[in-house]
Formats: sequence, C-alpha cells, structure tokens
Amino acid sequence: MELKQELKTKIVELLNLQVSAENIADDEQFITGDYGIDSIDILEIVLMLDQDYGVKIETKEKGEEVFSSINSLTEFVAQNRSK
Amino acid sequence: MKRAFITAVSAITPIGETHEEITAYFQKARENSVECTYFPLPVDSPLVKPVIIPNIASRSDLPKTHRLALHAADKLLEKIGVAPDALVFGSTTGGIDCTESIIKNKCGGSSPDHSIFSISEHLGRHVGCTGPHIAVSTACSSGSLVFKIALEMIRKSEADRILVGAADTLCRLTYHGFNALQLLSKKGSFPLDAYRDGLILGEGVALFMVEAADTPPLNTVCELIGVGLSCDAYHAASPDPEGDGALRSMKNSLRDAGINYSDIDYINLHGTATVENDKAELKAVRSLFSSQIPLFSSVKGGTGHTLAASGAIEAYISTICLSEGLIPPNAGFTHEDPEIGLSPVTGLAYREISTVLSNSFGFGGNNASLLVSTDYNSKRSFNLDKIVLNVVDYNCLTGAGNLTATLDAVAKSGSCAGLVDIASNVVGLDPRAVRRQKRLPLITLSVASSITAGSSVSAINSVYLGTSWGPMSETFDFYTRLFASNETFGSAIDFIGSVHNAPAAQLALMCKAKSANVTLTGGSTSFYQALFSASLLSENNETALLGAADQYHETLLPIVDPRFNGVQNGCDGGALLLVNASTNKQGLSIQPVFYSVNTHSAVDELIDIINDRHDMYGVVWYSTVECLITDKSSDDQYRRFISEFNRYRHLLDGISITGRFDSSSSIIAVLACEQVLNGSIVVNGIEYSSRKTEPALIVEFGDMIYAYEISGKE
Repeated sequence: MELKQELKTKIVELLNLQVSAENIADDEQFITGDYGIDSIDILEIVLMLDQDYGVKIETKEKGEEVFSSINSLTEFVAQNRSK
Repeated sequence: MKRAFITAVSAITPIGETHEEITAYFQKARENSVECTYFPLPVDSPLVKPVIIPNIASRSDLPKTHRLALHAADKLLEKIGVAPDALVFGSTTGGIDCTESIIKNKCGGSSPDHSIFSISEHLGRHVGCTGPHIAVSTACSSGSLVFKIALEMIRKSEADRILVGAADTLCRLTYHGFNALQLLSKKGSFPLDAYRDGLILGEGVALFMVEAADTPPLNTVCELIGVGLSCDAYHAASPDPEGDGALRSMKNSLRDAGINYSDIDYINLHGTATVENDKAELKAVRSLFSSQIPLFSSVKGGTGHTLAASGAIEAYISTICLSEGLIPPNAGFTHEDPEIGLSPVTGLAYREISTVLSNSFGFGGNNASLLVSTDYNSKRSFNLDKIVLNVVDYNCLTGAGNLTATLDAVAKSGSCAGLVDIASNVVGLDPRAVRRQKRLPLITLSVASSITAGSSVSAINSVYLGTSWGPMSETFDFYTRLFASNETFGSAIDFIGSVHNAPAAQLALMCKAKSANVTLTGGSTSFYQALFSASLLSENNETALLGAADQYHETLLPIVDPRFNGVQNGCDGGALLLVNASTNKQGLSIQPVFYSVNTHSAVDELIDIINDRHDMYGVVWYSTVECLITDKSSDDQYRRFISEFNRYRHLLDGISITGRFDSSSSIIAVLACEQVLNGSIVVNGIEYSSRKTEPALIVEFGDMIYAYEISGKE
C-alpha cells in the first residue's frame, strides 16, 4: 500500500476516527480539523510512528511541523523511517 | 458532632519512614532518583524513586502494594491498642504487579490479590477490623480523598476509629503509561522549576488512625478539619489549564473546615513537576490567596509521584510539619518559572505553624484538598442536616438491554443475564466524543445518556460510581501492545482509560459534573460502597449520578478474579440512579443500612438492625454473588441468613435474575425501584406485589454482608 494511504488508514483505525481514510485529504490540516483530535491522540500517533516505522518526533515544534498535513507526515516518515 | 483526630501514623516513602529520616532528608533534599530495576528497560529510560519492599513472612506471594500496606499496618498497630471499626483505603495499582507477570508469561494462572479491594481485605483481617471496608480509586487524588470519606463517617457517627491510608507501587502499567504520555523525566523531579520536564514515579504507603472525639485525645497528632473535593470536568488526563478545579477543591476544603484562607500557614502542593500541573496549580493558588500566599512547596522532588499514595504520604509529611514546626524544602527547585512567577520554600525552615493545606489532583480532573490542624480551640460550626437520597430517575444496561428490555426479559423469563450488546444498546452518544471509549465507559455513558436525555434535572453535581474490575479492555489491550513490542510501547489512550476512575471521569465530562467524583471498588460491594459514599458526602440540594458497572473480559477476568475462573456464560452491565440529596424525603429514596465483614455474628447484627427499622418489607432481594461461585451453601451463616429472610412474603434471588457479576447489585437496585414505585414486579410470569408503603430490602451475603433499602412515598 502506498505510504500515504497506509498512514491514513492506520491513524483512522488507531484513533477510531469517525471518517473513512479515503475522505482525509492529503493537504488537510487533520490535527486541528473536524475530527476532534487532541494532544492524547497525537501522543498515540507518535508512539505508532516510533513502533511501526522507527521514526521519532522529539519536540513539540517538530510535531507541529510534521503533523500539519498527511503530505508533510508522509514525507517525514519516508525520509526518516528505519523500519 | 464528633471531631476527627489523627492519633497514629506510619509510612514508607522514598525519603524515609520516620520523622527523623524524613527530616534528615529535608536537611539536604538531594535528588534521589535511580534507574528502575523492577522490569527490563532500555538504557536512558526515565528514572524512579523506589522504596525497599518489605518481605512479609510466609506471604512473599502477596503483591508489593499489599506487602507495603501490611508492613505499615504492623508499625501502626504498635501505636494503637484497639482495632479500628472501619477502614478506608485508596490505591490505583492494587496487585497489578503480579497480574502483569501472568499476562506476560501467558502461562495461565491467576492473580488472586489483583484487586484494589483485596488490600483492604488483607488489612482488615490483619488489624481485626470487621466494620465497613471502603476502597477508593480516584487515581492520584485517592490518598487525600480517603480522608473525606473517613471525616464524614466520623461526623455522621458511622465509625469511631478508622484506619485510613493509601498505597501504590511501581509497575509496568503506570511506568509505561506515563511514559507514553511523555510525562516522565529522565533527569529527575524538579517541581515548579523553570526547567522541569516531567514527573518521577515513586512508590510508598501511609496509614493513619483517625478517631472520633469531642476534644483531642491524649495521643493526638493533629486534627483532620476538612477535605474539599472537585472535578475539573475538563479532560480525561490533562488538568484544566486555568486551575479552576484545583481552586474549587481548595475553596471547598476551607468551607468544609469552616476556616479562612488566611488561617493556612503552609501549602503542600500537588506539584508533580509536569509543566501543566504546576502551572495550573499555582494559578489556582494565586487566585485563592491573591497577594497573601502562605509558604508553599512540593515534596515530590524527594518522594516522586507516588500516585494514589501521594495524598496519604503528603498528609503524613503534613503531620510532621505540624509536630516539628517545619516547612519542607521544594527539592529540585533552582529557577523560577516566569510563567508561574512564584518561588517555593527551598531550604528547610522552622516556623510556628498550626494549619496545613495539602493538595492532590489526579486523572479525570479529580481533585482533593486536605486540611490538618493543631489549632484545637478555634470554633467552627457545621450544618449536619440528615440527608435523604431521593431517586429522581434511573436506567440500566444488561444482557437484555435497557431498563424497559430488562424488565420485559425479567417478566418473561426471570432473567436479564448476559453480556451487554454494545452495538445495539450503546445509543444516544456522540460517536466522535466517545471514539476512544471501550466497553465499560460505553456502558456507563450510555446509561447516563438515557437518564439525562429524559430528565428535567438542570445540573448534575457529583458522580459516585462503583466498579469491581474496572476497565478491563483498556488494561488488557495496554499489556497486549506492551508485551508485543518487547516492553517498549504502551498506549497513551489505553493507559488513561485503564484507571478505575476513567468511566466516572467520562460521566463528569459528559454531564459537566464538577463536584465530588468518587470511584469505589469493592468486589460485589462496589455498588453499596458508592451508595454509602453518596449518602455520606452529598450535600443538601446536590444532584448525583450513583451506580455501578462492570464489564466482562474473556481473558483478563479469570486471571484477575479466580472466583470467575471456569464460569461459563459471562455477564456484565451496569445501572445508574439520578439522586437528589435533600433534607426531605420526596418519594422514592435509597438508603444504606448495614455493611460488615461476614463474621459469625454479622447475620444476627443485620437482622437486629432491620427488625428495628420496619415491620415488613414488601420484597427482600437477596444477592449472593460469591456464594453461588464459591458454594457457601453449606455455611451455617448462609443457612441462618436464608431461613431468616424466608419469613418475608417475597424473597427474590437477585443473582438468578441479573446473572453473576460484581456490579449486579446496581441492576437489582433499579429493579427494586420499579417494584417499589409500581407496587409490584413480574418475575418469570409471577407477580410479586407489595403495598406502596412497604420498602424493599436488598441484602448481599458473601465475604461481606450489606443491606440497603429502597422506599416509596411514606
């Protein structure tokens, strides 16, 4: 599966978001958008990225940059993954 | 009204056990965190502050928390002569250290002392207490909240000598859980400091003898003058950044004690050393005290955060402050945080102090503020109205469905037993708001939603919820992921959801219930404990959700509760009553009557009490969760119990109706409400009628015996 689609599916399943993965737009600000994602959800995504891709997000600032859209997240994972 | 005096104390903490050891620590107040060696961790993991867990001769199989509690009890027993007549104890981890090894090894077996309540049971046996055992689990406020229940028991003459305390020990669940939340520090605990970067988990226990008296007994350590409770109703885990709940908790403690803020000489802060807690707490302190802030500090630079135990350990330290006239230094503080703009006491100071405020805040925005004092002469007045819990509304979820479906199933087949069908019965909830919730909170939220949707009650203030097993899905899922990742990754969401008070916190969030939020956990007495606490703590005109719920879990239940090992046909469910506390009985009402350990005389005591109350009960519902499982049918007390109650016109076997699970008493409560309200109930085609003036009695026979009454219009 394409990484972008894979990440969307994982996030929707992990957080039980009430949306289908296909309906999350690539450039959408999904963190601050309508899905009700909060700081706990972000921590859960951070854990998933570490566990599944070996990608670490160390600072809040980095998190804000990485999580600004599915596009930015995909790019970051693709560049930094060790799994 | 009797006053409550602390007459004996004992504790085991990461900074020592005795006054001398703890004072010696305060003189240097050095960072004392170490690497965690209880379970495998990679290098450079967050540090901890452990204690030496005492070995209890012949009971090395007991969980660490139990051993700590029993050891502290031994030390306390040296100081007291007479056994306590009640016990109030708080914990979050219970015996989970034993449970997690079983889950990890997947080799079967059970963890008979898993439950938080089992600590109370062991303590009760150890100290010879046969009276009420109350087990509190409200996360990190537990160790202060226990004092509120004890204080009200004394004020309302429910007990004279209460063993009060709390304990928690380090385990994988809390370590990896807080780590997943990025709340643990790898450097140390630096409360209030500008460069603080998280908490350090500690472990420990503190126990107290709290006695009722008109004037201070000879051996008085200090007086317990007030406890304030509140709930943020803001977030499942994060504190309200405005500190609103913390402020209300402190204000409520002042009101409870009948003193002014200017009477406080020292504040022992919750001060966990997380960025958010310390900021919000100090905002609340500034708001309450304005420019007259008393001396304050957090001792968690030394003790670490001992979770449920922290309130009790800090109450213990508060007693040292009062007896030695010392102000503990805020170990770990060097730089004032510009966002806080206040500095704590940094070196051990000696002052004449007489009143200490101690804060404890926990997950679910659960707050408790404790006031202890040696100023015995100040006059304080209290309103001690006799409170009635009027039942305004109620509903349930059972294997049959909601109340309507449950009554229908009971009428037709005599049983509503089974597993709650989550897919078709959890309705009326915003899917987005509950997307992170699993089985237990979904059950309680759904029942609450069905009540509030049809209710004219404008506001719900408090929540009193019993649960025996707590959120087992979240707990099991947390461990599954942790062990699947070679003990590396815990889930932040499952950790927050795993604490026993998570469902009550969700109820508070949904209903904006900002007063007391109390979770009780006591096996099959869980509902009774919630009822008992509600009747003790509710104030006139307050409205509360009162109930109990438990979930079935195929894998975890047989491990954590061997009584259910091999039991087929799992059952679960829960019920909530919307109760309004009032000085007047207004119709349907519920009242606790009796709670005791099942001793050779307990059945006789119960019978004496109920014979004094009423000539006739319309229906007696008896419940024997444990008997049916452990077959106590040959027990003399059980035969006496059944033969005595057979004289009543209608004796209904509650468990055969609800199925066997620990919160089934809450289902029986709502069925009994229907029966009293309508003057009859149909069970398996047979109508059981009573006069509307005749109350229903619900009695439970097990290791504990309790009874409560539901009555209609008089």
